[in-house]
Amino acid sequence: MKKYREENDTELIRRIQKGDEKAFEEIIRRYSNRIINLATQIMGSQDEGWDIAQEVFISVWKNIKSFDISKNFYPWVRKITVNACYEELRRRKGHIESSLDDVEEGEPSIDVPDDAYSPEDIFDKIELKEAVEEALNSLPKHYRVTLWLRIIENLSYEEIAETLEINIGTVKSRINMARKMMQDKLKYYLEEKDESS
Amino acid sequence: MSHLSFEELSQFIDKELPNWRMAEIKEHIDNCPACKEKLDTLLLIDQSIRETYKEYNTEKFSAEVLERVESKPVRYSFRLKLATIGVAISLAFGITFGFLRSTYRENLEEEKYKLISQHYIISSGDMGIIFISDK
Repeated sequence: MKKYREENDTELIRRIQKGDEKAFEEIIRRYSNRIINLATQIMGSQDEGWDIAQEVFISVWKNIKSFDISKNFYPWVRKITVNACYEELRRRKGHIESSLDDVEEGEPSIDVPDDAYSPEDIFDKIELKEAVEEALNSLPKHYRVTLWLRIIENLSYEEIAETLEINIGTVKSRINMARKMMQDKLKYYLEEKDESS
Repeated sequence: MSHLSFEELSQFIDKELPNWRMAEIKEHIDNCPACKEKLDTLLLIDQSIRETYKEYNTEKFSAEVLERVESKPVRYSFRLKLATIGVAISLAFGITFGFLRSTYRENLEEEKYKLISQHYIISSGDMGIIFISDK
């Protein structure tokens, strides 16, 4: 495997296109964490994120011959992941009317303080990380995914717009809204931080 | 001096403003503790989100994916092998049984004619029983 670890994505993809499973294993090793994290954010649960990520890599294996080697590999996989998650959510939407379209686009209104965490709740959390995870999970999916692509995947607004097939204005408003919501949900904790610092 | 809007601070963090505006905002923040505090809060939230990124067991994940990738052709091949073995066993059994049966019949016929040639036939019954006496 050492040989494969030293190879770049393009070399690995060439090998995978010839059916090299070891090269495929190396690609999984490189990107599975990011894909599982992304899928978890979109699906809202780790188990589902894990399962969808597996489907994504199986799909990569099946469709790798159609991949244009002159392009970057990871954005392609990321796009497959987003599409796979949205497809799954759309499939479920027939049963439960929520998921992706649970928040209307356009000028969002802020009505967060009602479910913001109380100081006692926050005090019990001990770790900011847990509070942030919970706050993040409570965001509407659209906002959470957009913010995730910005902060974790480090995509520009334009790249996010391409990935999610939305316009840049929507990306901007989702990110602003998501940050506002996060700030409101964590405000007691953030105030405590300020007081202690 | 008016304070910066939330939207502008957010876009400032993301470096999504024109260079000239980025420079203006930076200068403003350096001179405005209130906006600096707002910016620090947003940066803290971003950093906290980065820390929610999890490290999964990629070896386990990879093994599961590879197993699923391989499982389909393997399963097919196993079934095919099973079917082939079944057919082969049936054929072998059929051929052997057929051979033994025909050999047994031939031996029986041979014995019968040998017996007939050495004896007088008295009568033969409806059920193929032959009554014979010594020559």
